[in-house]
Amino acid sequence: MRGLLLALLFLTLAPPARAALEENEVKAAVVYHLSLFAEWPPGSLREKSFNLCALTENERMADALSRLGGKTVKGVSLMAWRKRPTNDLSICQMVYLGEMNDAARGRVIAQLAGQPVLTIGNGGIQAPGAMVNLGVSGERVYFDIDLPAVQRGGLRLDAKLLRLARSVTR
Amino acid sequence: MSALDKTDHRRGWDRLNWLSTALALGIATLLLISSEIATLRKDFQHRLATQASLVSANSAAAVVFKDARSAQDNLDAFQHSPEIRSARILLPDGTLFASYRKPGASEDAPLWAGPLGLDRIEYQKSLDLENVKIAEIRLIADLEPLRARILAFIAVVLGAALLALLIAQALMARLRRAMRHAEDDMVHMAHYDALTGLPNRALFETHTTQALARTARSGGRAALLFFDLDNFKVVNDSLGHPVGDQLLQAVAAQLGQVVRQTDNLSRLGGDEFTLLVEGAGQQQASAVAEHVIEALHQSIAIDGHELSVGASIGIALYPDDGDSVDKLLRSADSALYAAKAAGKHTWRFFSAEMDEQAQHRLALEAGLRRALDRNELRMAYQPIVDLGTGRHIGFEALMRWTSPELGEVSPAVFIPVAEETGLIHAFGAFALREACSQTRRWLDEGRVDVVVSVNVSARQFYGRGLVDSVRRTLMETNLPPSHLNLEITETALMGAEQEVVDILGELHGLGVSLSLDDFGVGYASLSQLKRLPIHKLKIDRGFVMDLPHDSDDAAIVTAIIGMADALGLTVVAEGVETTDQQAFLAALGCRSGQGYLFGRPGPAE
Repeated sequence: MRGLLLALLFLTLAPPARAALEENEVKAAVVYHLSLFAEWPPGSLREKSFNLCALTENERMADALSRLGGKTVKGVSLMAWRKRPTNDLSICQMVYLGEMNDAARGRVIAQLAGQPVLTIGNGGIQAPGAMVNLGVSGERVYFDIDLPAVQRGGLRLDAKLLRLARSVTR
Repeated sequence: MSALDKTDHRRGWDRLNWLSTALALGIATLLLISSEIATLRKDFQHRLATQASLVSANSAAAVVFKDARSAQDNLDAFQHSPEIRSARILLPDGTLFASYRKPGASEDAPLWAGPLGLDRIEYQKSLDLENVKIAEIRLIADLEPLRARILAFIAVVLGAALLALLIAQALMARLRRAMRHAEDDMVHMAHYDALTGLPNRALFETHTTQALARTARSGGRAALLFFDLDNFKVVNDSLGHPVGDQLLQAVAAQLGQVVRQTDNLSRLGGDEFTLLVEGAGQQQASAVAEHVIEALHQSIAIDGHELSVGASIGIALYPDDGDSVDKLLRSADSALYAAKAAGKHTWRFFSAEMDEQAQHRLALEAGLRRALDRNELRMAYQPIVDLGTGRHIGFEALMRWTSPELGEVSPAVFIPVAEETGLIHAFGAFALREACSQTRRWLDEGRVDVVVSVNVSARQFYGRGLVDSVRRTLMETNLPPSHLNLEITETALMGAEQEVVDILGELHGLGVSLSLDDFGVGYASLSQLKRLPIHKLKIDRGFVMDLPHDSDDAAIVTAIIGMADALGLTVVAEGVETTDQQAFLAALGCRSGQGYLFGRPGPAE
C-alpha cells in the first residue's frame, strides 16, 4: 500500500495561470514550505531570525531564494543568505546545495554532518548526503527524503511531509 | 341565576380552563422543542468545527505541496462521519482543490425543516500557515439524522404534553365536581332552614312568586297561611333555646305529615311558618287551617316536658288580599294578629279592618318604645281601705300612659303589647321605682302604715332579673320591704313551674308581701295556694260588681273569704262601688277593699 502510494506520488505544478512560473520559483516555494514541516532540536533556532543559506551558482535560483526573505518560519522572519562553500555556515538552519562542484559540495556535507541544519540538495545534480533532494519530473517538482541523515542531524520531519515525498530512505 | 344560565356559565368556565391548560402546555412544549433544536444545532456546529480543524491540520501539507490527491484522501475520510454531506477545499483564488460528497445524500431538505432552522448548517474554516491563508475548508452538514432525532423528540414531547393535558383534565374534572357539590351545598344552605330542613324565607319568596305567577296566568286562586306557635316564647324563655329548637323540629315534622307535598311549607324564622296552598279558596283554606291547628294541638314530649303549644293562623287569599308576595304576607300577618287577639288556637281570614288594626298596633308599638325615654309614663295610685273603719291602709300603683300621638291609652291595651315586645321588663322596673320612692315620701310625711301594691307581669318571672330588681329598688329608695306588696296574676302561676315557686320564695325572703290578683277568674288550684308564699287574695271585680243582690256571686265571695280565712290569707275586694257592697263584704269578714267608692286611681297626694 505504502509502496503503491509512493509510486503514485506526484506534485502538480500550479494551474495554467501560473504555468509560466519559473521552475526556480517553484523550487524556492518548496524549500520554504519544507521549513514549515520540519522540527529543529530545542535551542538550535535563533530567536531573531531563521537563516536560509543558499550555495548555488545558479543566479536565478539564488534570486528566487532571496525573495523568500521576510516570510516567517515558526514565528520568526526568514533571512536568505548567499554563501560560498568556503564560508562559515554555523548561522544557518537550512542550507540549499545547488549548482557547485562535487568536491565543494562533499566538503560542505561533511562539515554539516550531524549538525541540526536541514540540507536540501538539487536532484538534477547528485548531492549524496543531503537530507532532502528536490527533483523535477515533467512539470512536477518532487522530493526524496534521506531519513537517517535527517535523524543524524537531530531534526524531525512531519509525517505528512513523509507521505508527500516521492521516496523516503529509511 | 337560573339553572340554565348556571350550566352555560359552568360550560364556558370549563372551556376557559381547558384552553388555558392547553395553552400553557403548548408554550412549554414549544420552548422545550426550540431549546432542544438550539442545543442540537450548537452541538452539530461544534462537531463540524472539530472536523474542519482536523481536516485542515491534515491537509495543510497537501495544499502547500499541491498534492490534490493526498488532500482528496484526507477528505475521503469523511465517509466515516455520517454528519458531513459535503466537504471542499478551496484555494485563496477560489479554485476548487479537493472535494468530497457523501454518496446518496439528498440536497433538498423537507419543507418543514426551513422554519425550524434544520435545512442547512454550514461551516467554513480558513486554513492558515505562518499567518498566511493558504486555503479554505467548507463543510456542509447532512441534517437527516438530526432531523430524525428532532422529529422523535417532538413526538415524545407532544405525547407527554397530551398525556399531561389528559391528566390535568381528569384532575380538573374531579375538582369541578367537588366544587359543584360545595356550590350545591351552599345553595341548599342559602335556601333551606338548617334547623327544620324546611325552605327558608328566601326560597319561600322565590317559590311563592313563581306560584303566584302561575296562578295569575291560569286565573286561579291561592291561599297563604301564616302561623306561629302560641306558647313558643314561653317555652323558649322558661326551658331554654335547645328545648325551643327541638320543639320547632317536632312541629316541623308534624306539619310535614299533614301537609301535601305540593303545598309550599316554609319556616320564615323563629316560630313563624307559612303554607301556600295553590288553587285554594276560602273553604279549602279554612279546612287546611283547621287541620294544622288540630295537628299542633296535641302535646309534644321533649326532654321530659309535655309541651302543648298550639298555633294561631292568619289566612290571606290571592288575589283579593294581595297581588304580591309581600302584600299577601302582610295581610296574612294582620290576620294572624287578629287570630291571636281572638284568643289563640284559632284562625282568621284577612279583612280590610285588620289592616287598620295592624297599622294601629304598629303605631302603638312605636309609641310605646319611646314612652319611657319621653317621660310619657306615670303612676296613678288607687287607695285600698279598711272596710271596717274606712281608713286608707295602702295604695295600688297603676301605670298610665299618655301618648302625644294616641292620647290616653288604656293599660289593658298597652300592657299586652309591652309584654309581647319585651318592654315589660323596663316598664316593671319603672313602676317599682316610682311606687317605692312615692311610698318613701308618704312614710316621711308620717303615714307610717301605708303599703304600696305593684303589679308584676307573668313575663317578668322569666329570666332571673326580678328578685335583684326588687332588692336593688328597695335599697335605693330606702323603703322597708314590709311596705311593698307585689301583685301577681294567676296566669303567672299557670303550670307553677318550680322556677316561679323559687322566685316567689326569694321575694318572700326579702320581706315583701305577695298577693294573688284577680282571684277566681284564672286557673289557680287550691292546692297551689297552700304551698305558695302568698299573703293576700284579691277578689276579682267581676264577683263584686253584682253584690249583694246576685246570690251566685255572694256564694262565691263567701266561699273565697272563708277559704282565705282558713288558709290564713288576707282578702282584698276589688271594684267596690257602693256602701251596700262595703257593708256586705265587711260583714263576711273581708277586711279591705278598693274601688270608686273609696277613690279612683289618681296622682299621689
